Amino acid sequence: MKKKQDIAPLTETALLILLAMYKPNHGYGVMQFVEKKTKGRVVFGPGTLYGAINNLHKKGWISPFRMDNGDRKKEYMITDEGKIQVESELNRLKEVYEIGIDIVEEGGKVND
Amino acid sequence: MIRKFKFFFRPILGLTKWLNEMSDESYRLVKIGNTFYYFEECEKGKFRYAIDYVANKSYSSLKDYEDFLKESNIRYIEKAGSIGKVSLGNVRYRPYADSRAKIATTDGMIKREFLILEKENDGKPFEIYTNIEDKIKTLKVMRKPTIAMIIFVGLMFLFSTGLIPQYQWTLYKFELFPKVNKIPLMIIFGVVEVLLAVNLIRYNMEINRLKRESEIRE
Repeated sequence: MKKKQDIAPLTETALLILLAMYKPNHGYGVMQFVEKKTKGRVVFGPGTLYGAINNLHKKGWISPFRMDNGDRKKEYMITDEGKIQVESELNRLKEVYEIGIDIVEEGGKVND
Repeated sequence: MIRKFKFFFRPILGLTKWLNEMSDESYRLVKIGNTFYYFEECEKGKFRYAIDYVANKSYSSLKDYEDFLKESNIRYIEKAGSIGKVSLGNVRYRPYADSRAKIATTDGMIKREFLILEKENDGKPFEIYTNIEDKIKTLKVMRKPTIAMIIFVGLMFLFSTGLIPQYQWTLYKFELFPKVNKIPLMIIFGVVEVLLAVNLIRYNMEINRLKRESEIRE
């Protein structure tokens, strides 16, 4: 059983970066992945993205990934610990989504 | 290549606005000298600029950040801070930096207080920090020189009133404003102090608004 603070909700920024790193990816790739997947709703500023990647690295949820393709861009990939975080976040979002959809589809008759 | 001289009362906001306006007038920033900004002609509105405060980063983490920017197709130009600091020979006091970086002595960091970031215009505003927490941090950094200036100008105002005794050493008496009519000085320092205070209040209001916002939004 994980300690409680280790499975606390993730920010949208952290979740999207982790998802972008299920394949080895670098900062610019993450930026493009997120912009494309959210159809331009989420655009990371370089300062925010840099800080978040460093924090995720320090937490051990992503780790540097080396490829010998001559490309010197710094790539990272999600770790097993990172995957646990993503899965528990998706479960949490599903729970919240189901609560929400039940209520909204009943036309807001919450207090009946 | 053309060169221009410019001074900004608000170094980050003022310079950002000016560089974007220059780009809209078909000028791209090439480099920054000690006194001048150098521009070359470019396609109208091709670039967008944003300024990041980096004096609180260590030399190696600054280099790491710069590598990251390069990889992200963002060009950067290092810029020395020009307000809220006092230079004495090769020692530079920066009242608005984090405590450890307050006094810069090495050439490594002395000319790198700000990074000017440039990217191709994609029609969206260029923001370096896009979540609320980072925005609050940035505003706090931008507020620091204003606070330093308020203290400095406030002291100057008090001295100019002549109401508080001036510092006196054993060997000689140090008087900041000897034999001058003190009324104009008082007015100048007073007006600047009020302007600075208004600036500070604007920063505080924006920070508080974001803090309230951060309780319900990311």
